[in-house]
Parts: sequence; structure tokens; C-alpha cells
Amino acid sequence: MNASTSQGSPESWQPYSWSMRIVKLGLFLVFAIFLLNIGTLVLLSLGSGWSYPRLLPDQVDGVPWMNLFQSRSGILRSSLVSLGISSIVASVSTILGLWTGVGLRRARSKVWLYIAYLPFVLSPVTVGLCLLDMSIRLGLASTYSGVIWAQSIFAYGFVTIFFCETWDVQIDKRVHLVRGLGGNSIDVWRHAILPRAWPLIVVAWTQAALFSWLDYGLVSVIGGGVIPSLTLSMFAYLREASVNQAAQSAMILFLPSLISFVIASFLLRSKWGKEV
Amino acid sequence: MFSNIRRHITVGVIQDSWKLGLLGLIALPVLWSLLYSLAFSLGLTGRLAKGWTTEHWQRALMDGFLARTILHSVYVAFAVTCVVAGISLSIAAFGAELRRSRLLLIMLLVQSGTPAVVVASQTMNWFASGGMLSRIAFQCGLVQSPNEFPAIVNDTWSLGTILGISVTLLPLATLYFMNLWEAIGFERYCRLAKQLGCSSYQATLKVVIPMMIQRGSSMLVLIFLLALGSYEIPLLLGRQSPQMFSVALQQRTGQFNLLNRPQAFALATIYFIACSGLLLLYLRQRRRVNER
Repeated sequence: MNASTSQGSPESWQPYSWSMRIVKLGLFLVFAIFLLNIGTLVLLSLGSGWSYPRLLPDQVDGVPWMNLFQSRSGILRSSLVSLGISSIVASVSTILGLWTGVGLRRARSKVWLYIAYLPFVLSPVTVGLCLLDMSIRLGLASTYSGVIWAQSIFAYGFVTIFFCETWDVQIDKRVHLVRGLGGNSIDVWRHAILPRAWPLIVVAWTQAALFSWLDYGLVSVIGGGVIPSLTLSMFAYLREASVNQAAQSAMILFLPSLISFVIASFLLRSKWGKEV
Repeated sequence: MFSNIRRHITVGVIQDSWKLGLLGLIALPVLWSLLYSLAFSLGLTGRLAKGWTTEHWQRALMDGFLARTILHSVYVAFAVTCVVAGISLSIAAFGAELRRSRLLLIMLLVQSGTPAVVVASQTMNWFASGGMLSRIAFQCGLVQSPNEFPAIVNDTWSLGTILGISVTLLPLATLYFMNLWEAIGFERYCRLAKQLGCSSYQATLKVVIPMMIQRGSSMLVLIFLLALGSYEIPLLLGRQSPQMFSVALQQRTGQFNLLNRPQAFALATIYFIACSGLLLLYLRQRRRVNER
């Protein structure tokens, strides 16, 4: 890349063509650190022990991963519990959030939008601590339904905002068309909304499931330590300073979120330009 | 005629039924949380409550618990906002190459998919006194024991916390500002500035950055808000005292000393009020920018 061509080109604005190489180098450096970071996580999860001056684990033998499939009460169980809770939370909040998000978008009301945004900015653990007393009275504390209820408050808020803000104008046009042709509400959902909005629904579902999958605050407060979610066991490992197991649960937490973000980015790629 | 009216009402109820979800699932629990924490801090509810009193507020104010926690939370959130704004703005405004870079996009997406707990544990693995950097320093002969390494986990200035929260919020802000570049069409402004005699550097510094800050101010408020409410990272990387809002609240309510609880809920009340005010600011600013 040389300076004379970039200055003359009308379509792209490139203020620092001379420093592009440095920027590129920096980018690769950041990428290297990024890979190294993930690499250490994988390596730590594969080994056992990590005594001080050593850069690698004491033994790279894959013991944490072998234990995963041998013992029934360990990480595998908490992964299954987390998976169950998060799929229920995601389904409930996606169904309700789709309904609410569409209505909220149509209403264009500031007050309701404000309410929908509240769970997005409030800290879950703070709200959870304030709801603990109520959930004890209602018999929801330390139960699966209590955790699902508390997580749904937040997941539902996210999904509502998501649908309200990324809704496609094309869908509204189709809704008008179906209504104009004499369709009732069910027809509108079947023929206008669902066929076009399914990528949004998939993304919303995975994001809601992720929130629940990664939540620690609400599970620890409302679940009262009785609900063995994966985040709880990871915190326990971190507190015990068992580096390898913590790295392993970090990997198990990390993988689904990585996969779902890849899916989301593919499904939403065409919409990115419109989002702002 | 009556059946007609009834149908109108039913249609209206069905069309507005989504409000029930917002009311029941969000407004009610949040309002309850606010009222509960207010009532608890004023001695109206709770195991040891003796009726209306401002004693807990006074005690919380006197022993510096409230002031320390608020100052610390605001310090961390403000530092995070500055770091995130600095990095994301400079990527969006200066890096013409970066805006089109696939590599950066992939990194941002992977990073935004990384859970806060994992960020916290990795920060610990790298920057703690027994972490990777300390080991590398030991191998190079720079330190003789882990205690000599200047760790930034559980440190005085909460640098580890700030780093961790910044890393989790960076993708959001960077993607937003990169989108903003496209959406507003900054290229036109830059070209105009250049035709009027600006250098590239001046155009970026005096046209693009101020415009981006003005348009993206709502995003900066959001970053501040999200940083203020973060929990896992300060819990793992922060010090025992002072702590950030969520951690302080969780620890004060988790203690066996029930006398400390009302103070914790006084803190929660302040947090709720601050957050709802900032959220109002965020939505208003966003609307103002969109209307323009």
C-alpha cells in the first residue's frame, strides 16, 4: 500500500496509510495474545497441577476430562442441570418476549420501553437479594422453579428488547398483507411473523439460554447453593484454587456461548447495518 | 351494539396483553425490590426490625460504608468507561484498515461470547502473583518469588477488575462505534474537512471523534451502567474492602451479623435509584440522537 494511491482513491478514506503496517502488526500481536490466552485455558484443563515456576501443568494427562465421564456427581451432572434450566428459561422468555417485543414496538411507548430495559441494566444479584425474602414466602427459594422464575425476569427483558430493536420492517408489511386478506391473529403469526422472524427467534433463544447458562448471581442467591449449576461448581473450584478443574469448567461454559455467537453472527449478518 | 363494544374491548385487551408480561415479570419484581430494600433500610421489615428509623442510614453514612462502596464503584465504572471509550473510539475512528478487518471482527465476536467468569479466571491465571506473567518473569530471572511480582489481582487500585470488565464490554462498544462509522457516513465529513485544508490527523481528531462522542454518548452511559452492575469479575478479582455495589451487598447480607443487613439494603436502594436515573438518561439521549 503506498500513499499516492490511497490519497487519490475516492471511495475509501485512509488517513494513515503509512502507519497501516504498524496497525496490522498490532492486530496480529493482539490476535497472538488472544490465541495464547485460549491455548493456556485448554492446556490447563488438560493437565493436573500447576506448581509455581512451571509454565506448563505438572502433568499433561487429561485427567480432568477423563474424570468428567467417569463420575456421575461432578461437572457432568451440573452441566446437565444448567442445560435443563437454561433451555426452560430460554423457551419461556422467548415466547413471552416475542409477544411483548412485537407489542412494544407497535406501541412506541417510552414508559413501557423503560420498564423493558430495567433488567438489562440492573445487576441480577442485587435484584435477586431483594427478591429472596419474597421467594422464601412463596416457597420458591432453593427450588428449580424459583431459579427459573428469577432468571426469566432478566432473560425475558433481554429478549423483549432484542425483538423490539431488531425487528424487520418487512415483517410488519407482511402482517398488513395477511390482515388485509382477511387473516386473523393466528394466521398473522403463522404466515407473516414466524416464517420471516425465525432467525431472530433462534438468536433470541440462544442468547436467553446463554444468560441462564452463565448466570452465577441468581443461582447462588435464589438457588441457595442447593441447585448445582455449572457456574456454582466453577466458583467452588476457583475458590479451592484447583486451577485445572476451574479451567475445565471454564471450557464447558465457554464452548456453547462461542458456538451460539457464531450462529448468531451468521444469522444476523445481513441485519448488522440496520441495527444502529 | 353492546356486542360490538364488547368486541372492541376484547380486541383491545388482547392487543395490550403484552403489557401484562412486562408488568408481572419485570415491573412488579423490580418495584418490589426497590420498596423492599427501602423498607428494610428504614427498619420496617426484617427479622430485627423495630419500626421506622433512620438510624441504619445514619450508621451507614457515618462509618463510611456507603461512601466507600459508592466511590469505589463509580471509580471502577468510570475507569472502565474511559478505557472502553478510548480503545473502541480509536479503533473506529483511526483504524481504516481495522474496520474492514475480518480478524478483528472474529476476535470481537469470540470475546463477546466469552463469559465474565471465564474472563475473571483467565485474568487471574495471567496476572495473579502466581500467574503466568509472574512465572515468565521468574524464568527470566526478574523476580525471585511470586510475592515480588506486581500482581494486579486483589490489588489496591483494582486494576485487574478494571481490565476484566473492560475486556467484557469492549466488543459491544467497538461494534457499535464501527457500525456508527458506516451509518453516519463519516467518510464524507472527512473528505470535506480535507478539502477545507485539514490534515488527516486533524480531520479525525477534530471532526470524527467529537461527532462520535456526541452520537455515541448514550452508549457510553450504557457502558457505565453495565460496569456499575458487574458482579462476577469484582467478586473474584477485587479486594475485601472497598467493594463494588453487587459484591458489597451480597457480602453484607450474607454475613451472620444481622445488624449489618439494613445498611446493605440502604446501599441497594441507592443503587436502584442511581441505575433508574442513568437508564432514563440513556434512553433520552438515544432518542434525542435518533430524532436528529
